[in-house]
Amino acid sequence: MKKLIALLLAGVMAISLTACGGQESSGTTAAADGGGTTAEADGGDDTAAADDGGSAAAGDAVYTIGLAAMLTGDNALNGERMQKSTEMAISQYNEAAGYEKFVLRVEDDMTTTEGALTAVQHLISDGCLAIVGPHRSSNALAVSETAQENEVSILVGGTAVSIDGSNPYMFRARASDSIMAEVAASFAGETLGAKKIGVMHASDEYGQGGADTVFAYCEENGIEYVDEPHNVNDVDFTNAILDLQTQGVDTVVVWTHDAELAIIAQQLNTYLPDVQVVSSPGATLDNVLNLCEADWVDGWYSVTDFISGADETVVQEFVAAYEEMYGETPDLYAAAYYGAAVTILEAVLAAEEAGEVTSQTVRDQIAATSGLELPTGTFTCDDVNDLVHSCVIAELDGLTPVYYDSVSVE
Amino acid sequence: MTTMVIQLLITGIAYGLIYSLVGIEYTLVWNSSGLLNFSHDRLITLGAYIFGGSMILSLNLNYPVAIIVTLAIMGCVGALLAMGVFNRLRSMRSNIFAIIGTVVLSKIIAEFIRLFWGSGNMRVPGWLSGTVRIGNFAITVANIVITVVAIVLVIVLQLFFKFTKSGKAIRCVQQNKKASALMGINVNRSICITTGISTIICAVVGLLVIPLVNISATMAITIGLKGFCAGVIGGFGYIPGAIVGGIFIGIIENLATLVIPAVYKDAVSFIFLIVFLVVKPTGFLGKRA
Repeated sequence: MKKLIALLLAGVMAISLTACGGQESSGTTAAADGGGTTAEADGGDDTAAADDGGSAAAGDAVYTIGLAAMLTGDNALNGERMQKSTEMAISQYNEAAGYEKFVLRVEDDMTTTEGALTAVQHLISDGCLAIVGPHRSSNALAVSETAQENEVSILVGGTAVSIDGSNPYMFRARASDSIMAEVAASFAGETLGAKKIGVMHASDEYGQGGADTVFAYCEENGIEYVDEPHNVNDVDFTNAILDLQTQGVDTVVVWTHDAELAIIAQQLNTYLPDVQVVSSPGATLDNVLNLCEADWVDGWYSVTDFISGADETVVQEFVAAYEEMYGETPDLYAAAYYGAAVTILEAVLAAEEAGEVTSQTVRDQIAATSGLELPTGTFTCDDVNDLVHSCVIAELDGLTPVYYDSVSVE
Repeated sequence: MTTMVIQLLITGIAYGLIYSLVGIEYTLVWNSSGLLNFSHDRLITLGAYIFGGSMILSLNLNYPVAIIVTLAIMGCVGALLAMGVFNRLRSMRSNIFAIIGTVVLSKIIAEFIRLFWGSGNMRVPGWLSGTVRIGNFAITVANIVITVVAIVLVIVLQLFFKFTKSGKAIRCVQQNKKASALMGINVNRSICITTGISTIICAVVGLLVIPLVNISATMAITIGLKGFCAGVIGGFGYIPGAIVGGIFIGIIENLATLVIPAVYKDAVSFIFLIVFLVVKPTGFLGKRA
């Protein structure tokens, strides 16, 4: 028996050593399938990355960019798209450079504030010049101080109004809630001719921020509104919808998270089927539409960052490249973080051209971004570090989001 | 206003019956093994994922076959949990260890679900979908089915416990494990059967709520908590108490939104839970429990 155990242990040790050896020699990707581990687009430090690439000539600079993505947790599917599009941007710029000029280091933020902080700390200690992500506003705010203390720029996707440009190292790569919700409200009021608007919104920072913008618009324009907040992860909205029905609203603005949005679509269709609906960006996403039946959302409008069917050249080129690389159509997560990655890469190139590439010079170049045409709009950094000042209105034809209009907000 | 009240009552009764079923699950496991099983919500989720994620969306089975296979699998899962976990936990020195054990079990099931089916939400197209409109009233097919299935399930359970040998054995074990063992009843086997039944009820709840909440890792968290409230408010450890408690919560939390904002709906149940724990811990039917 002892011999058998000894043999088994020896076998396990041998396998472990072989596995370790294999990983070391390959020096490339480590999967992030566990909790909070690291995935790398390329291995090791900058020098090692250049060596692995095999094509960098001596003296060719190699720059490390970070990505803090939600690879596990509630939003893993969206995190996967963040990673894909960032990797695509890196590969395009490497191709243009003729060698692996840019190395991407990826950390899983697990869609939590603690995870985001750990991820960003790892990326900073790995020497990243700038970081794409984290996505959620709460996570972005959680890492803000760390980024500022270490003078490393983060390009976040959080749209909350509380991301206000007070941190010079935090940039927003999506249109803010105030822009999107204002567009939703003005679309409901001016285009749809709403007389009384019901606002169903999450009671967290995201939903409340959007709702407050709609309320402000309604008050300015003399439109009546009914406030119907709900908790995150609520599943029964019957009461709120029946209240809207009783109060005779003709238009509903829904500003909430993806899971709740799908359930609200179903329950609106049951209890208030004839109402006009304008929603937050989630209504154009596959992970919401896959949970809906066509008649629940048919005729809805959604204010969003990106529609793959938009006919602008920059959008179509991005969609074609993404589809070719991954065999799927990109969504707003892919488009938004592609934009964030390209902004950083352009900033690094600009800093290189200016003669010095440090996290500080890269920050300065990001802050100087102007007129950069990207799938989610024209990126121009303003005085509160917002890069995007436009959004798209989509109309849902069954389960298909169709481009309706683009709106720029100054 | 009358229309709205009736509409809220209909929804309240349907949700209340769901809470009742969850309360019954708690009661069954509590009575048989003396454990408070805080993994119920994950077992509900597991049932929904097996049915929707595997039987329907992956294997494309028809509904009757998918339901039978899901319930069979969940029954086996329950029996295995009883043999491997609950029977061991109940013999621990402190109930606290056992409760923590079920909480950890809940986490393990959640991670298993994430690894096996991924973290995305799912829907089962066509499953209990549709709305019946009668005048000004709209009643979802899901709410009608929930009401019917819950009532039938409660009746079947009562018949099982009163008229079958296994049911009588389970009741004996619930009353006195030592005496039952002396009378020749296999206590561990009885606990396995009870846990199996409880897990099957979890699966039924999971199937019934799919059209209301879609399939997601967090789909049953609130339902699980309110099921516990139903048990306490009705009279913990007494099946009719769980039924009364569930329907009470379902109706009260819905009607409460006539006077308070809907965002505080969940708080109503939890306030009642605390009030009952402080003022009448035996619940509505406590004397008989």
